[in-house]
Amino acid sequence: MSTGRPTPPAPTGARARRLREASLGPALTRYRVMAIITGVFLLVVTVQLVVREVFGPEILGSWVAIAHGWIYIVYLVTVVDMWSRLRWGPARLAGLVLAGVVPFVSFVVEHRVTREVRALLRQLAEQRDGA
Amino acid sequence: MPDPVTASRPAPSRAPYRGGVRPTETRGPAGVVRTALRLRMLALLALALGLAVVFAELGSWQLGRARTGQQAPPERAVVPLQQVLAPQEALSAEAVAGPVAVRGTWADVPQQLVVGRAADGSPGDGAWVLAAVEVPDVDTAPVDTAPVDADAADPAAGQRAAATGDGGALLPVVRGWVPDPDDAAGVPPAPTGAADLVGELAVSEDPRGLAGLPVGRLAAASSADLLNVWDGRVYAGYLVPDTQAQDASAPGAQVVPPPERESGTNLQNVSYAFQWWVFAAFAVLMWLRVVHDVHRRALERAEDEAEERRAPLPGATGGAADPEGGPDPGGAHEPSSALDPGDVDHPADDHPADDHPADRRAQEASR
Repeated sequence: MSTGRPTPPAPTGARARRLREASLGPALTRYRVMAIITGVFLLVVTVQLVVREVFGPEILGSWVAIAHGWIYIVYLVTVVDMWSRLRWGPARLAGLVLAGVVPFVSFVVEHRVTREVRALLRQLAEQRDGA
Repeated sequence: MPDPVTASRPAPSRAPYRGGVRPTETRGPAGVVRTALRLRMLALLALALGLAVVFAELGSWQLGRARTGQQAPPERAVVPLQQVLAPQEALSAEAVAGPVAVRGTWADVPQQLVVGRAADGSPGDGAWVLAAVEVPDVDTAPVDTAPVDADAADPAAGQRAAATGDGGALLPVVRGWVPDPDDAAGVPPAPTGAADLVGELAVSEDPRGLAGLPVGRLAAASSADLLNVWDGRVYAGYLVPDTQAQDASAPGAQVVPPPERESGTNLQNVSYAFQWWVFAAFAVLMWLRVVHDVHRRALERAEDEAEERRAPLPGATGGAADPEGGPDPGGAHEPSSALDPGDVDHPADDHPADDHPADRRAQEASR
């Protein structure tokens, strides 16, 4: 989501304190797991849709689509959890929510978010060590 | 987190901006409510409620589809099969919305027994008897005007075409239910000649394959499985003819009831309906979360500013940022240039990193 953008300045003061207390690492892991599962299921649903349009019969049946719907909801829960711990704005939330329904994009976004959050975690750790 | 400065603020909810406490920085529920009532938050609330209404409507629509099983008007007029369904294409809602008329010839293909089911299709010991009607791709009203497109150049092909019609596609037709698939005498013989049927279409069942089944038996009324035993194109659905057109003459045989509309997509639609409602709830919860966040951010800002007043940042001393030029224990009552009222109603909530008081002080100082 932020390839071209320079690294944002390190958070300071009360904001940094709250971020350090927010256990961002586990939240990031939960988000990543669900982002990957959601992305894989989305691909399966897409392939199934294409196959059905081209050849006719469904390969795996409707359970894939049903499962994807509920997995997406779990994904949303992890997204909101992480987003709210990170204190990101509504625009970021919208991006993460939509990333879960566009094939392949979920993987790209997951990768970028991971890089960004890890950079933030590093900044926070350096600050603490420096203080 | 207890903060001596904010904790000791007198009557913060009524404090004027110049007093150093913005109303939205009030701790506790009152402050959250004030944050929620800001124009920006109210606009977001309208958006969230709008989304919630749309999502809830979509959920109701999905549930409606699940209930009626896509059966829009139950008493649709009889239409020719070709009008609602093309060979090898998925059945539309219209195809299963009412009776269809099928005109063609009984195809010269082996009749199949779909074993392991009761008359209504639920698991059981009997079997459906499946034959095929070869349906021309275009509805040729009276069947007895034999198609004349038989290939004259190839007599063998012409003969074959004449025997099976005009090379149309095969529509699986349920001829009835027999209690004992092993009792050959109880299975009605495959019909021949012209077919003129009225009945209900059903979506092809999921394929189960032919493995482990004797010739002439299937585990599902599946067009994909039938493709392996019948030559030619097969429609992606099967016909359950009305009662009179089925053969229940054998002892114990029964007619197969019309397909239940609720099967197939039902579960998926119910699931989708609930998912839409979860999304609707989500939209509203998200708004609460955003309000809470914005409020928390304002509190953090106040906390930072209070800290700075006690021990100003090295880079922020001098200039307009700190008119008194040093730490001031009574700072809670001092106006701060970072709390310029002109800035109050437009905090960049989406970009908290740009919004930090230290940055703002630096900007102020450089002006």
